[in-house]
Amino acid sequence: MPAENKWNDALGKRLYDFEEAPLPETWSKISGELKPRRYRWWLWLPLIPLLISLPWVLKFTVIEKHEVGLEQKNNPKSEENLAFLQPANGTENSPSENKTGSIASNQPAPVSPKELTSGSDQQTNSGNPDKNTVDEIGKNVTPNRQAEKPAYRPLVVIPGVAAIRETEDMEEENSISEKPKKKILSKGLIAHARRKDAKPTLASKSLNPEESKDNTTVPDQKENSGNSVSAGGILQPAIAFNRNAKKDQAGKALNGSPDELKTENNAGFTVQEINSENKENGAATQDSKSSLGELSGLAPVQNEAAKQDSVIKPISLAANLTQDSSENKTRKQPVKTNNKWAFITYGTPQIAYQRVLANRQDNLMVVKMNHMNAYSSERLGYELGLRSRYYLSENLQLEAGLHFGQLTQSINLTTKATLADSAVVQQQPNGSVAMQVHNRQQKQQVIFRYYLGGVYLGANYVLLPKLHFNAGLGANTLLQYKNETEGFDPEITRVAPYVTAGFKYNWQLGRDFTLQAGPVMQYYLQAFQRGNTPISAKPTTFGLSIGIQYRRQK
Amino acid sequence: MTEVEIIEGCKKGKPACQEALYKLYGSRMKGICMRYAKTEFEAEDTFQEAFISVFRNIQNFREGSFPNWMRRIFVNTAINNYRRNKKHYDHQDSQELEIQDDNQLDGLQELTTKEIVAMINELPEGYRVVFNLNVVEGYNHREIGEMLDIAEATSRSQLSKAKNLLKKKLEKINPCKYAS
Repeated sequence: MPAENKWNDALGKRLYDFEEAPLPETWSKISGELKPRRYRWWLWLPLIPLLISLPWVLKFTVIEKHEVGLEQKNNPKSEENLAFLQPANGTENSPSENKTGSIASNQPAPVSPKELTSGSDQQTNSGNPDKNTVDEIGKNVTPNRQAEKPAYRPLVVIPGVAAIRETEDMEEENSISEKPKKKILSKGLIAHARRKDAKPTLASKSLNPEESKDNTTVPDQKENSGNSVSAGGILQPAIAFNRNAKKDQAGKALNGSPDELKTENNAGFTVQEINSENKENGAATQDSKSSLGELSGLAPVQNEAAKQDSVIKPISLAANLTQDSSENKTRKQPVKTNNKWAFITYGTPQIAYQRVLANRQDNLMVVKMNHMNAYSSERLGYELGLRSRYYLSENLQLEAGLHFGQLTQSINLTTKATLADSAVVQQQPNGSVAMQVHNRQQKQQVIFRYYLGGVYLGANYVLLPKLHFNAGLGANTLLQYKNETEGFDPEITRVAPYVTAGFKYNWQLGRDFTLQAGPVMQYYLQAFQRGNTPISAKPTTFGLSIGIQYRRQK
Repeated sequence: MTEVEIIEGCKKGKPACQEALYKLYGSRMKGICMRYAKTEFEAEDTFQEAFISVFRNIQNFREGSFPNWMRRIFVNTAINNYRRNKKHYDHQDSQELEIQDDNQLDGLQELTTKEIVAMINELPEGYRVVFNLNVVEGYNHREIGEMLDIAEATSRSQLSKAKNLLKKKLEKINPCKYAS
């Protein structure tokens, strides 16, 4: 044992101090590893199309919402407005057709009486006694319309009459419309105020006997405050702004209050029918009819006083309202015919895995892959591209596109020479000879970088409304090639075909834009290396594709 | 530059100091790798990997013998490589090579160190590592068992077999001496 310990010490000391000069190229390799890794700016490239697209997407999305919001805001009761603003059947009614004697028309009104009492009556102040207190006929009419202010004032249009007057108070209280008010007496307008020499009509008498004594004057604004209409106007009874007049007139009073008040648009305007409570008074209705019969035949008369006291509802307002309403209806019911074409810009960070193929034509064999299925930053690559999509149907689309990408093949492997490097022959104690053959093994990391441009043709199928599956064929052509491996210089193929498949989840960003993201796999059909090369590997990439689709909705 | 300046420079990442350190200890550390590796290529891999590890962990060196600190890194790297590639090595049964006479070890004096290293490299993988750890590095069998994740008895057995193999090789090289 002491001899063995001595031997151990002697051998150990000699081996402990053993030195061997390293290979000359070793330091360059070590220093290369020690250098700070270069900043891989290109890893951010896939975000560029996304960042470029995002502001546009947001812009269009905001505009879209803003427009919709405005539309709803401007037309909170657009349906109601449309209900009585829409033209009635047979709008071409001549004055003679208004046989009801009032401005009513024989044509069915588009609005039901119920609707009118709830909404339109408040506007015309004709059918809601609770909101209109009348102390005296033609006087002290207390409007109580502040509770609800309609978006649009209903117009009362008489055949042959473009507009009617209302008292200023009513105009002020009903000044809801944002349209500029023009005191215009259009052609064919019949002023409500009578001429001095005009005979008082039955309607005028019946409405306000006191004022009808002097029916040449315009009713006193103060006395007829509110929205009551004086007897001086021929039309007022028919309009029945003061339907409570029946209380005082006892049979005569509401002679001017028609059973129904109808406004009719003879030139494409609306017809409104307003129910009144006094259906039982046929005489009054008849008076009203006769008065309106006169009215319809009257020539346009303007009374200056009445002109001052009244505000004329311009015909343009009605026209605008009708036009706006029709536009609103058009917006409400867009014709949904989607575009057949869509365009996609996308970016895909990828990681590439390799399938190393057997190569029997050289003297090296791959013993093992040292980082098989392992993550390595060297394997990262990307693809950027544009695609167009044609909609065969809403569920199936054809796709074609161009792209640019970078693919890295990083292979860390151990190779072994097929030829014997050394052989040890040992003679056994029994006289036999044993030979041990050593082959040279070598660990290597092979890195090939390819910059590729390519085309793609495939199809997209809608599995679920938001989940799509796409698959197709593509071919990449080599734009640039970098070999970072010493000792390997294989011939690289110029065209690399591949098949690809993936899923995309879709988020609608706006009317026209859709954000798509999902996993994508590319399987290359052949190795990038050709000929008699030590390494021949077929890459398969896995990536996360993120893109924006633009499809203009007609 | 002194060793301290070189170390401080390496801590700051100065390439010149790194190269100086490499030149200062490269040969010695390469010798360690040569003893643990079976081939020159394996030794080269271990050497590069260990040196990179030295430069990346030199911040952790505080005090003591810097060469010993480096040596531990190189030995540990060699052991890690041995563990990693353990299943790929061919295990040779060298029972028939055992030699009973310990006195035959005197023939080592007539060999150069490089020849001895070459003989050690021919030892089976497990034997070589245990032999290096015990005879050269001075670890006992318990420590070797923990490092290699083997039993202490296994370590003893492998060391004994390694010595027997070496004796046999020495006998072949200088048969006259051993015959006497």
